[in-house]
Amino acid sequence: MNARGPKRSQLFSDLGIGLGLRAPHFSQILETPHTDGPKIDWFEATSENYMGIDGGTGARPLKVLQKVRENYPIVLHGVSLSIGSSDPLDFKYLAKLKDLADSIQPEFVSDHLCWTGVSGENLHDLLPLPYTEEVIRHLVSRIHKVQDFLGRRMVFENVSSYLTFEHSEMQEWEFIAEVCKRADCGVLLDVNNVYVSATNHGFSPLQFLRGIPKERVAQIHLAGHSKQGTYLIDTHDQPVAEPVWNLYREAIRCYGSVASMIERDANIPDFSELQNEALKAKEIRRLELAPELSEEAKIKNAELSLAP
Amino acid sequence: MQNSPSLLEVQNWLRWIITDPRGVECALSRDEVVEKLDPKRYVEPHPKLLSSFIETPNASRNERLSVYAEAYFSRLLEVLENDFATTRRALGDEFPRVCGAYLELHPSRSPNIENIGARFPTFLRTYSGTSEVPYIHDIADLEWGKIEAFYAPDSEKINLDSLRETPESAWPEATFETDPSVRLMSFDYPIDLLCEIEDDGKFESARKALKKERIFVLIQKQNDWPVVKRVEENQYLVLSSIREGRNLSDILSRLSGLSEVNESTSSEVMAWFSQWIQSGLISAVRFLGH
Repeated sequence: MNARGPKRSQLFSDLGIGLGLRAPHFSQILETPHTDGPKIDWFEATSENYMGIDGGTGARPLKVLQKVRENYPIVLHGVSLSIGSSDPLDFKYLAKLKDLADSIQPEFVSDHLCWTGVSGENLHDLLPLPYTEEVIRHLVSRIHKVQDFLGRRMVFENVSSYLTFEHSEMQEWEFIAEVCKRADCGVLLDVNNVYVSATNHGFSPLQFLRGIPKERVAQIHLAGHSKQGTYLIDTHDQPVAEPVWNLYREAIRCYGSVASMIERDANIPDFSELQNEALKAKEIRRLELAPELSEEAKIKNAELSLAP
Repeated sequence: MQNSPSLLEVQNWLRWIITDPRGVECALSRDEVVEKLDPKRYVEPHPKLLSSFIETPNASRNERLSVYAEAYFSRLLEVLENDFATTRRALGDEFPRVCGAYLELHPSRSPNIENIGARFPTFLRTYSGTSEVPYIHDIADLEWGKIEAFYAPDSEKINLDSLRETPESAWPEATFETDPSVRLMSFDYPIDLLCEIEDDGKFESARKALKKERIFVLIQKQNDWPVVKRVEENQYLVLSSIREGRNLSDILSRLSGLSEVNESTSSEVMAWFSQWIQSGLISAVRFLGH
């Protein structure tokens, strides 16, 4: 059957619909037999949560992850690679990441196209970069080194931002496209981040989506945000907002069948609530990708848009 | 035309504004900094880069920078609150201020945010702002000890059959290893009791009633979770001696130097060893020549 949507290259496999693996749900995921278990195709695990403190091990969280891995594909998603930092790459951190990846055998290893620290200090935030040729060269050289060290193609996520730079030379999507092309890495497209940044900086989210080369899109994130005065904050503590679902539909039309997941990091609800969001994403994707159902898709998707 | 700032300049400027404990508005107002723990942290780096950020009608530069500055402190504070829950309760509303002072001197230098509390107990030991709670560093020590125990590597269980076959003559020279999760601590106040209380009202009355009392505490990971137990002074002494690498004969002599050791004490000590080996607290026994 010919799926609707553009043809994709085989750089990244479509894993279906996933969820972020979070500690409050460990028991439920482990204690339910896989056959009766969550209707989730895969889980994404935050890499640093399974590395342990300095001098320690991954401890119980790593044991849980290894157990989950027996039944589900895993994607490792880091927050501290700091690929855009001016500091040298942290090979001690990379060695821990490599050990974790060797142990878990994830489908992808991802992080963020940002910096998280400088001058030896870690700010534990996904900080924005100026979109310049100088920064592209800096990133590409470092991504090559990381990919060589890990022995795998990396995937990088667009971050939500509250700052842009006067000296940026291009738009964010042009910057990401250029980095991925030159570094031969993938894009983790967070459509919530696109929406948040588009609102905060006044660009078109559709233009952003269309500017990312579809063959480079490995994965899509869906998350919630909060309104703070006249701008949006990427809080990951809310259900996915309706404008973000709409943007997700556009993303599927743009990129075809891409592994997608629901990301919730705070105010974490019952597993069933997140699973329902994942099922909603699955249905949207199914409807957008089925050519013979395109009319039905329009109606169903319109209904889903109206659903609370 | 002015040159664009380098990436390093941009990042160092942002690091300064985000981590300045006074907040963005105050930092940019260039207020004089008096008697701060780390005055260097308050000095704006050159070149000054505020004008490098785009301002829009929906949010000023200061507002945009404040999103990052507020997130920096709240994220680290959240981790410290979780890791030092009893320390937080004991300090009450002062806790965020104490954490601010700590972060000023000990900003995160690790890619893993879970490491942020590693130096907090030591900081509290010398920080003058918590002198009203003389045991506060002990509580923090105990709480960080539990985190270290949680992340400690697992050890193999000792093969009890092979131990039983060891000739009696080999035992006096035997040395021992404790499980990597084991932490031994002694405190001047019974602060372990405070850590067990969940109810806020009961905590406050227990805190007020806390009297000096020397206690000895053992933390050990069991079934993946850290467990805190009181131990007797002699047990503490024996376990400390084990961790110093002393052999069984030395340990018993050391004990006899401190208290009267008779046959019944010796058999009590041997019972402790047996129990510790079976529970996994002792994770290896080494015999001379093996």
